[in-house]
Amino acid sequence: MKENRNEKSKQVESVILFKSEGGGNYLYSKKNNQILLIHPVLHYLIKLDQSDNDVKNWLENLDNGDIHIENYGHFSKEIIIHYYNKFKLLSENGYFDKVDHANRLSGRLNKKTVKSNFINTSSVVFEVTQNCNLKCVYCGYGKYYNDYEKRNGRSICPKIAKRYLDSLFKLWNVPEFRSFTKKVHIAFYGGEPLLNIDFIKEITQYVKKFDSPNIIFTFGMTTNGTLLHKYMDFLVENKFELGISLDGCERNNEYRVYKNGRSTFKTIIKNVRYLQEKHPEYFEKTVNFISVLHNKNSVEEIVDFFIKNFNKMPIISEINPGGIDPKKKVEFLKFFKKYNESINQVKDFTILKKNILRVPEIKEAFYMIMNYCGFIYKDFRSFYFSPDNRSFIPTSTCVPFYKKTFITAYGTVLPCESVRHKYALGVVDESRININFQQITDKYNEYYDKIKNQCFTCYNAKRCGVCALTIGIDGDKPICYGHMDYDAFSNYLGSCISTLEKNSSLYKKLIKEVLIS
Amino acid sequence: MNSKKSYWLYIDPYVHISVKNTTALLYNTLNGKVLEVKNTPSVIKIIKQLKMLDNTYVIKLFQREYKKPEIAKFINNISDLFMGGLLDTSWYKKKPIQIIPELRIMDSPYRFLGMKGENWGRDILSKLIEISLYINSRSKNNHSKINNTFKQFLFPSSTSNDKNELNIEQLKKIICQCKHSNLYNINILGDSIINYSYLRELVSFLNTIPMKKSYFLHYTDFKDFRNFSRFINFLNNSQTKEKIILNIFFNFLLEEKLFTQVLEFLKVQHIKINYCFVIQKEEDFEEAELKVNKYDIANHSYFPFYNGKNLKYFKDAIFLTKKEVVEAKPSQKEILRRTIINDTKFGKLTILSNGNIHSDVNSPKLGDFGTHSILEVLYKEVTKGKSWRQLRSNVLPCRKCTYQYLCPPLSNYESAIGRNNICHIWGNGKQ
Repeated sequence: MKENRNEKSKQVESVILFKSEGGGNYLYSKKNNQILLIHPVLHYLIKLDQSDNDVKNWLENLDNGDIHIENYGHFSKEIIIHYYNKFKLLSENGYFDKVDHANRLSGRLNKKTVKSNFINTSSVVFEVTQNCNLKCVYCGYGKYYNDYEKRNGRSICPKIAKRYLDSLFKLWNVPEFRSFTKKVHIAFYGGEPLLNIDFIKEITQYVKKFDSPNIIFTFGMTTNGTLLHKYMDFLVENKFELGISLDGCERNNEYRVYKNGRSTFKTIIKNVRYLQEKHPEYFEKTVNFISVLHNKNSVEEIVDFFIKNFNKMPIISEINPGGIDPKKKVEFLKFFKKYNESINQVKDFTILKKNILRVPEIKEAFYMIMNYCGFIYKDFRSFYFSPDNRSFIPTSTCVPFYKKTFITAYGTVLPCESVRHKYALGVVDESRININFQQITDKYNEYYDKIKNQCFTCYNAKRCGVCALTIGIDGDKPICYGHMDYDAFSNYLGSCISTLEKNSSLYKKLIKEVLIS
Repeated sequence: MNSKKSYWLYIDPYVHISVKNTTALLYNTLNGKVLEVKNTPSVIKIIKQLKMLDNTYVIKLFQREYKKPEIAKFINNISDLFMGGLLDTSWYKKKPIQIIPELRIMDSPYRFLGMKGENWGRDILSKLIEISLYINSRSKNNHSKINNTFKQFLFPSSTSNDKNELNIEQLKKIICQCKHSNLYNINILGDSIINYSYLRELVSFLNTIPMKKSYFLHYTDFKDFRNFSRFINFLNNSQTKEKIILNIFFNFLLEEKLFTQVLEFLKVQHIKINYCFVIQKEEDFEEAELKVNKYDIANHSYFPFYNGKNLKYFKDAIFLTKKEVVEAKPSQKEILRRTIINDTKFGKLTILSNGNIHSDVNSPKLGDFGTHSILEVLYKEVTKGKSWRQLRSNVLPCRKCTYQYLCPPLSNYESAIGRNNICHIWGNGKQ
C-alpha cells in the first residue's frame, strides 16, 4: 500500500486523491478503475498511508481523544476506527494495489492487426484534386506550411482510385472480414473536389457495382460551396453527406477568398439558400457546416450565425498548428485561436448545450466517465477480458486503416487527411498497390517506442487524446503536450467531477442520451 | 443536534441496489453483505431516490427524516455494512456525487436495436466467444432413443436421429474464420468423436490455432480401445497440449471395471483431463464423491441432469437459497453483465451434426452449416435471436425479484425443468 512520494516522478501511484470545487473528497483507484466519494476521515487515513505512515500503528497509538481535521472538525476514535475498517475493506479488495503501468502500456502493433484493419476499413477518402478556386489565408497547403507533398494542381487518376477499391473489395470474402452488414463511406476531398466532378461521378458509379444488401456505400464531401449550384442535383441524388466550409458571417469569413482576394461569402450563401430551397429535406438531414476558428470569428459568433440562418450546429475546428514554417510562426500565431479559450468567452451557453458534447468541460466529464469509472466499455472484448491481462498501445494514434484511409492525388496512402505525407503508409498507382503491412507495423512500433517512456509516467495515459503523428514523432526527442503528472491528473479529475456536481442532471443526460445502450 | 442540520446520505458505487414494490435489496459487492428492506415505505422511498440517475447515489436528509427510527436504523445498517454513510452538508458548497453503477458497452449490438442501422452487422465476428461443434451422430450405429442430456449441458452424444457428420472442409473454413474473432474456446463433441471420419485431420488442424480446445468423450468410448487410444495419442502428440482439455463423462450406474480401466489408462497420459460425473439423484452424487476420493481425482466436475422425474432432487440439492446466492459472492462486473446479456449464453454458437446452427441448443435454428456463413448466423442472433439476451429481468417471477441479478443467468436447466426460477427465493408467489 505504501509508496514513496519522492519516487512519484518515476512511477504512477495506484490511488489518486482529489477534491472537487464543491469541497467533495474523492479517490480514484487505478487498479479497480473506480471513483469513490469519501468521508474526510477516510481521506485523512489514505493521506497518512500515502505519506508512508503505518496507519494501523498510528491508530493503536492514538489516545481516546478526538482528532481534528482542518475544515471538517473533530472526529471521535470510534468514527476513526469505523473508517479504518472501511480503509481495510477497500485495501483487501485491491483499491490500493499497484498497477504495472509500464507493462499495461507496452502493447505492440502486429502485422495481423494492420492487415485486418485494411480489410475491414470503413472509410476511404480521395483527394480528388489539388486544385482549388480559393486561396484561403490559413490553407494547410498555403504559405504558412512547409511540410506537405509538392502540389502542382494535380487531379487524381480514376484508375488509381479503382485500383485501390478493387484491392479492398476483393478482400470482403476472406476469413478476416469481420462484418455481415456494413456501411462503407467513400469521401471526396480537395482542393475543391467539385473542380473534378467527372472523377466523383465515375467513382460513385463504379462503387455502386459492388453494392449488395450487406455492404452499403455512403458518400461524403467537403466543399467550399462556391460551385454547389452546378452539381447539387447529382449530390442530392446520391445522398452525399455534405460538409460546407464557411466561417460564419461575412466578416467572420474574410479569410476564405478567391484567388484574386474577392470575398466568397455572398456566392456561398446564395448557393446554400438555393440548395435549401430546392432540396429542403436533404438540406435538413444531410448538410453540415464546417467552420475554422481564427482571430476574425469566435465560437459564439459562428454558432449564432448558423443557428439563426440555418438552424444548424456547425463543426468548429482550430487551424492546424502542425507543420508551420518556423519563419512564419509569429505571423501565424496572430490569427490562430484556441477552441477552449474561445468557448470560455461564450456568454450564452443555451444554444451550445443543444449538443452538450461541444462544451469542452462537459466533453471532458463525459470522457472521464468513460475511462475512469469502470462502468463504460468501448467494446465487449474490453468488458469480458480483464484489463489487467491486456496491454495497450501507448498514445491515441489511430491504428493504420482502422478508421479511414486517405489517398492523395499522387496516390500516396495516408492514415488520414490531417497527417503529413512523411507518415505515408504506402502508394497506389494505376497498375499496383504497394502497402507493406510489416513495414507499417515496424514503423508504428518505432513511433511508440519513442514516446512510451513519457506515457509510462502519464497518469492520463488511458484517456490519451494525443496522436503521435502530430507531435513530431519522427524527430529525435518528441515531447508529448498531453502528459499529466499526479497533480495535473488530480486537478483534471477534480475539474470533471466539479462539472458533474454543478449540474445534477448532467450525469443522467450523458448516460441516457449519449451512452444509449 | 441542530434541528435544521442536514446530511448528504450516500451509497458507495460498489453497492448494487434493487427495488421491487415494497422490497429493496442492497448488496455490497466487496464484502458480500446484504441488506434487505421490506415493508418500510419511508426507507423504500429513500432507496428509490438514491437509485435515481439524477441523484447519483446521494440525497439530502434533514433532521426530521434521519431522526425517524426506521430511517436511523437503515443509516446505521448501511454504515455498519460499509455500503455508504452520512456527510455533513456544511462541509460542501455543492452536492457531491457518486458515479452510479450503470453499465454501458459502446459497441453493444443491442445499442443499435430500434434505431435505423445498416451497421448492426459491423464487426459482428468479434462477438463470437465460444463455438461447440457436434461433429457426428449415430456413429456407433446404435438405435437407442436420443439422449437429451446435451440440451442441459455440453455432453458427448448424438444430436440427431440420423447417422451424420460435419463436413471437414466446411469445418476447417469455419475454424479458420474463428481465428479472427474473439473466440477463446472450441468444444468438439459428438456421439463418439473417436469415430469421426476425419479425426486426425481435424485435430491436426485445430492444433494450428491458438484457442483453447475442449474435447468431449464418454467413458464407454473406451470399449473401442483402438480408436480411443489412437485419439489420445493425437492429443498427446500435439504441439499445443497446454491449450487442450479432455472432458470425460461418467453416468451412473457405472460399469465398474470399465471405469477403473479408463482411469488407469488416462492417469498416465500427459494431457489435461477433467472427469465429469452426471448426477441424477443424491446417491449418484455420493457415489461420485466416493470415487473422487478413492481414486484421488483432482480435476472433476458434477453435472446435475434433470430427467423429468427427479424434481425433488433438484429442489433439495440444486435449487438455490438466498444464502447460497449471496455466498457465491457475485462481483459487480458479473451483476452488471447480467443486466444486459445472458452471461452463460452470450457469444456462443452450437453446430449440430445435422448442420443446424443454434445460439444454444434449446433456441430456434439460426441457419444451416455450409449454407449460411458464421457472419450471417451471428447477425441473425443479434438482430432476431433471443438467447443471448435472455435476462431474468424479462421473465416471471424473476422480473419481480430483487435477487434477479445476483442469481446466475437463465440456463438450459430452466428450459428443461420448465420454470424460470430454480431457486427457493420465490415461493407462493412472493419473494
